[in-house]
Amino acid sequence: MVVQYKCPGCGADMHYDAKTRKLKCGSCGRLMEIDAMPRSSADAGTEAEDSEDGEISPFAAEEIEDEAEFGRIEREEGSTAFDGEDGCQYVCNNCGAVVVTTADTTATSCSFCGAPVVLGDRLSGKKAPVWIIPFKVNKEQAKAAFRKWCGGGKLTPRDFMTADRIKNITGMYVPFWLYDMEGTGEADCTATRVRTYTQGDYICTETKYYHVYRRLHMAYCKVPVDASEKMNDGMMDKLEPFGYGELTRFNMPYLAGYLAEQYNYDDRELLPRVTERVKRYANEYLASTITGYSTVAYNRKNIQLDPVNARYTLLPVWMVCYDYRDSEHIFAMNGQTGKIVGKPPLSKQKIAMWFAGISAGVFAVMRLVTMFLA
Amino acid sequence: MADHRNHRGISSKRLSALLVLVLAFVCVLPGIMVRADEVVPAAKGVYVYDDAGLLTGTEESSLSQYLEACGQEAGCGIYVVTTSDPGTRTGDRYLEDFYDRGFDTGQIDTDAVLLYVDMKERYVNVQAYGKAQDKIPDTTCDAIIDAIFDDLHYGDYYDAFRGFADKAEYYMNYVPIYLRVWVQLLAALVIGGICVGIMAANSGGTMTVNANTYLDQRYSGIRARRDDYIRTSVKRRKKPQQSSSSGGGGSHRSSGGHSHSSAGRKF
Ligand SMILES: [Zn+2]
Ligand SMILES: [Zn+2]
Repeated sequence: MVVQYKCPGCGADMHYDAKTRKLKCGSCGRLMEIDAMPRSSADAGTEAEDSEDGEISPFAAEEIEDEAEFGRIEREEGSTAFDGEDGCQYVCNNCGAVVVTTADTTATSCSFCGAPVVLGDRLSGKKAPVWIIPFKVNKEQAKAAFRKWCGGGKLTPRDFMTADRIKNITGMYVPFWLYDMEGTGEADCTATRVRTYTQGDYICTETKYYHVYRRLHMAYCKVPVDASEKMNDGMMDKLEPFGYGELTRFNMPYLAGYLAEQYNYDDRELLPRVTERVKRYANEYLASTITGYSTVAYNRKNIQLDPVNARYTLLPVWMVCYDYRDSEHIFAMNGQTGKIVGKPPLSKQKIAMWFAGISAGVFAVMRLVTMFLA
Repeated sequence: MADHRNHRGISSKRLSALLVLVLAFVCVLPGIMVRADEVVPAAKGVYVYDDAGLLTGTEESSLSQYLEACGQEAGCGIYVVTTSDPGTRTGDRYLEDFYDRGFDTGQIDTDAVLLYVDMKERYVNVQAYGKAQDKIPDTTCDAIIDAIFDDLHYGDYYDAFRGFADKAEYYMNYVPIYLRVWVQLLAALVIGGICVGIMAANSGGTMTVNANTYLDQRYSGIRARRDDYIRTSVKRRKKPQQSSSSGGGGSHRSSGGHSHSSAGRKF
């Protein structure tokens, strides 16, 4: 089921505007509160069709009869590409064109007329996100920030910095699971305090042994794990942190004008990943409570963490494709904070320059110190 | 009258005898003093003063050449002084006076490493002056004696003296490993590589979340803790003997006022 948001004034398509945090009409600039929009997608569609203001109202797909019929591509046995619910076609309410989607798409735009399209049925039931952080950085800001970031790279090639070669920039809501984990950490250690002092002609090393025990209760809230198959986990991890103050109840209009995907891995499948990560944090936390000792040796350590909540959340990411010397570089920007990650091309010349410069500088200082000592 | 004359005769005889005695004494005295007290480097360019006669003639000339060569490499004078009759001078005093006199007469290199062997007391002493004092502090003087001690003890004097020259040259030209050019160059390259590596690694953005980012302080904390003292163990270690002139500050000073480093012992 396709959801499109129509301007009540002019009937044109509306999209989510990061600046005003409202739905904005692309043609007349009208703004609509998100909360004022109907939650049900069916309403949104009919509302648009009902507009009677003398202007040409777009055709609905049903209004125009087919001129010819075409056979369908045979589905091969065992093909999984368009299985199940993904088999259904989405048709643009504006122009009647088939909306090109992948199995994971939940929001996109009509490739024919450009109208924002939200696929409502893929965002309901089990696949309904709980929260969303709406985009805060808009496309122009993202482009400008990215250009600035490229210029700041000490090792990026000069022509990469100056050229404006952003191939495409896509605002995308990436599916994450936000886990709440809670549990106990327990440690039993033998710790020492070492003190050295002189006594007459002797240097004494005094070692005091302690039996140390700690039991902690710990809670980790909203630990994000990227649930999209496509996204590079390392890259997504580096995009953190997101400001959770702006977590909002999910509502479909936020997706209008952006790409969005549904999760590929559910909360159970990603549990090992989040557990491993939180255990690492828990270990550090446990160790940080044992202070004031010279050495700490663990006799027993036990960390038990259980998931309490997992919430399907959409987080905003700008994906930037950049063409440089016939190869494509992909960068991601936190759509809320503007933090950029990704591997920029490295200039061999600049690397050599920095390497030579730093080495020569260090060597010169060493020689100077040597001469001073001699 | 005659008595008077006689008296005068005797008295002039005694007088001349006294004169001869005084003359003889005046003539002989400096000789005695030089032998016993005045220790003088004969001339610039003479490096071996083998008063004790520990070396054969050929050994002495070959050692002399060797000391000169080593000294040129080391950039200072390297001297070997032996005696079998130190007179009243004991310990470091003999060599200190030797250097003082040489310094005053200009017959010795002011930068000098000296080995002294007293056969009467069987006492060996190494001292370093001027530039050499910084390169060869007390501990190094001691190390040089260590290296030649066996040869001295068993009477292989020629070998001992050559060994002394070798060691003196080695320490004079010794550069600590971290001050050597190639080591520093290598270290600089490694540091440069690490820096550029870190820059390259960070060019893709860094991880800015840590263990505390997602910790919820309201629900986290210590539920129970114990810090029980068990026992104490104490290990005693003897303080290493600190060298008295580690900074080359000159805790040794000759009567002529020349600061130097020194080490000596019986062999
Ligand atoms: Zn409008
Ligand atoms: Zn369309």
